[in-house]
Amino acid sequence: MIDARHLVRRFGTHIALSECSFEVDRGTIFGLVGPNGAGKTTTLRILAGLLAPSGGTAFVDGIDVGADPQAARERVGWMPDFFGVYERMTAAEYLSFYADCHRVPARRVPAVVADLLELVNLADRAATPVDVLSRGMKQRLCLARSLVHDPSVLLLDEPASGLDPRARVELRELLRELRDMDKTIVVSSHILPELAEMCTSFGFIHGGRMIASGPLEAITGPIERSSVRIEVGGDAATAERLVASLAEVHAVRCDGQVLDIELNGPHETTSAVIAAMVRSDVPIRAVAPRTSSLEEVFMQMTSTDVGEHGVRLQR
Amino acid sequence: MSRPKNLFWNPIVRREALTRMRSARTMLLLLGFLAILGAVAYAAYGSQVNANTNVFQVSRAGITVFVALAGTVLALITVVVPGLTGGAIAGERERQTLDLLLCTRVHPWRIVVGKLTGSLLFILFLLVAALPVLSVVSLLGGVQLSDILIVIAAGSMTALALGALGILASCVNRRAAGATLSAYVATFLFFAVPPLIGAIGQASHPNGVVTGGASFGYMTSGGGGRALIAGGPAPFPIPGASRILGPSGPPVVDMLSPVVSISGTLSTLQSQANCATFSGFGGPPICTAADQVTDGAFNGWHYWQVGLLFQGILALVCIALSVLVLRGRVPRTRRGERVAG
Ligand SMILES: Nc1ncnc2c1ncn2[C@@H]1O[C@H](COP(=O)(O)OP(=O)(O)OP(=O)(O)O)[C@@H](O)[C@H]1O
Ligand SMILES: [Mg+2]
Repeated sequence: MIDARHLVRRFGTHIALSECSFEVDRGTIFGLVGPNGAGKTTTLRILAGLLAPSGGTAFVDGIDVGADPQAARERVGWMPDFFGVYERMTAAEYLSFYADCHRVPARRVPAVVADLLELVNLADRAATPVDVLSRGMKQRLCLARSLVHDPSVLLLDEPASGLDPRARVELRELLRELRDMDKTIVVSSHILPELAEMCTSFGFIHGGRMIASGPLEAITGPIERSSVRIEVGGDAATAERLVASLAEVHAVRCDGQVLDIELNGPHETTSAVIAAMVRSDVPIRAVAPRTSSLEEVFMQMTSTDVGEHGVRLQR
Repeated sequence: MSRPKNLFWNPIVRREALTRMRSARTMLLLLGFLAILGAVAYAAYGSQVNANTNVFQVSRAGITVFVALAGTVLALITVVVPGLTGGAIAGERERQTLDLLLCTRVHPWRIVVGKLTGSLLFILFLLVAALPVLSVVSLLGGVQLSDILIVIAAGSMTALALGALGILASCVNRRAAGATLSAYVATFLFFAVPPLIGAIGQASHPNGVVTGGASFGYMTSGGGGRALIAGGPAPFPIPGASRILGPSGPPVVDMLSPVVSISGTLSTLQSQANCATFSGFGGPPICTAADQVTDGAFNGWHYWQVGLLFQGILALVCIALSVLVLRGRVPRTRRGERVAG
């Protein structure tokens, strides 16, 4: 559905994107992950047809965005990382305006607006001026705006920033709903756990380069180590010695009653560690993943790649 | 979901009208506009008509009131239009809604034309609201319909040209405040530069004759050669032409411009009123016809016609440049640059 090929974007001498390539299949939620300044917004703006790449080509639904931006715009809904609201306009009028701009037939506009307000849970705010809506409400309104022309591709730039935990869960549900409506969704964020729960494939972007992209399993596959945090009762030092002696364990660090264990394998290796502890009657209070597998991938990839490519890619 | 191509489809105009009518500033502007026009009409009428006024003098008063009102309307348009258009596009940029618009199916030229139309429709709204005041003139008589039409044409074209200039300023500026300021500066230059050139030309040709400096006369003369204002400074900012003739032979400096001189003399107006009064009786015009270009490419054209043409050209150029600036933010067709993948 989306095919970015060797995208390059320079701002003066600064290279924001360098040979960034990735593909997103129809009906998936793709998480575009990267630290601040990685080039996420730049990538999305190129896909939305708002920024010309200095090199490379972006295809959306088989359409070359640079060659035919009008056709691409009909298929793409873009939600930027800002709101962009007008004064003295109600939420419903705001959505109707953008529906008009996308040439939605006039007789269908009221129904489209009502449906969208319902979808993003703002039906009771239809008559509220946009500029007095709360941040989270604006966020949802802007998501609705990106949907007015029923695009097949959604580009969401940090849609969860500024949302309370409940709203985040709702957003996740909403995006899943949209995916089930056969939409292809790209979500950018620098907060991994947020994406880990809703995305089915990922692209890790760092310093303007796509370090890895594809379905989660394809990315996490090469990962050899994972880690787990186990809180024990009784003598922590004995438990530490026991755990350290296991073949599955790469390293252990003891902090009070908490053992931070680095494993020689995927997270499933944890069961072997716990089995050994249970056999030796070590009281286990709690077991928790120290970080998500995704986060580990990301940390490992960025730490090894920083040296080679650097955050700054200037010559 | 695509509609047939419609040249006039423009959602921006409707949105502008909607939000503008809800603004308190709009009401204040309207009240101010009407108050100023009312005061001018009252003062102009009062200065001409009293208990002893005879029928000739009343129709002369009609001209005076008309000239005063038309001049005021044009002056107000000059003041209001840059303020309306200067922030139009830069304001969208500041609110971050410009990018949102650019990624819809509204082409940049529709954005530019929509913003311009929105501002000009507001001017039209002000004028319609002022109709009762303006219609006082028709009660007094003395003014011909052609005069009124020419003033309307010239005023509309001035609004269009200034509006387009303001939109261009709005496209090239990042901030709305800066854009509005540069729109006013551009408007000022638009009015000030031609007379300045004229003054320099006159100074360098002491024996030259300046004609057309007060273009208001040319506009209101209706092309009938009934009025003459030559050499006098215009009291109002009005499109027109001004030219400096050498001591003999062809013109030295040819200018087609809106000419402004707020410090103009009332005598200019009065002489025009006198001319019009007498010609109103159908006799031969007493005043010399000097509102026509006598040579060059525009030979035989009335100055107001040339003014109209040049302002139209200016408006088109500004609109075209604005669209180009906006388009620069959107990828263009670059089929040749495709990278093999
Ligand atoms: N208009 C611009 N002019 C100059 N440099 C720019 C411009 N836009 C982006 N950049 C640079 O390009 C790089 C990538 O920016 P981008 O906004 O894509 O990052 P991001 O991944 O979205 O970051 P964040 O998480 O902070 O939103 C940054 O170094 C930024 O400074
Ligand atoms: Mg960003």
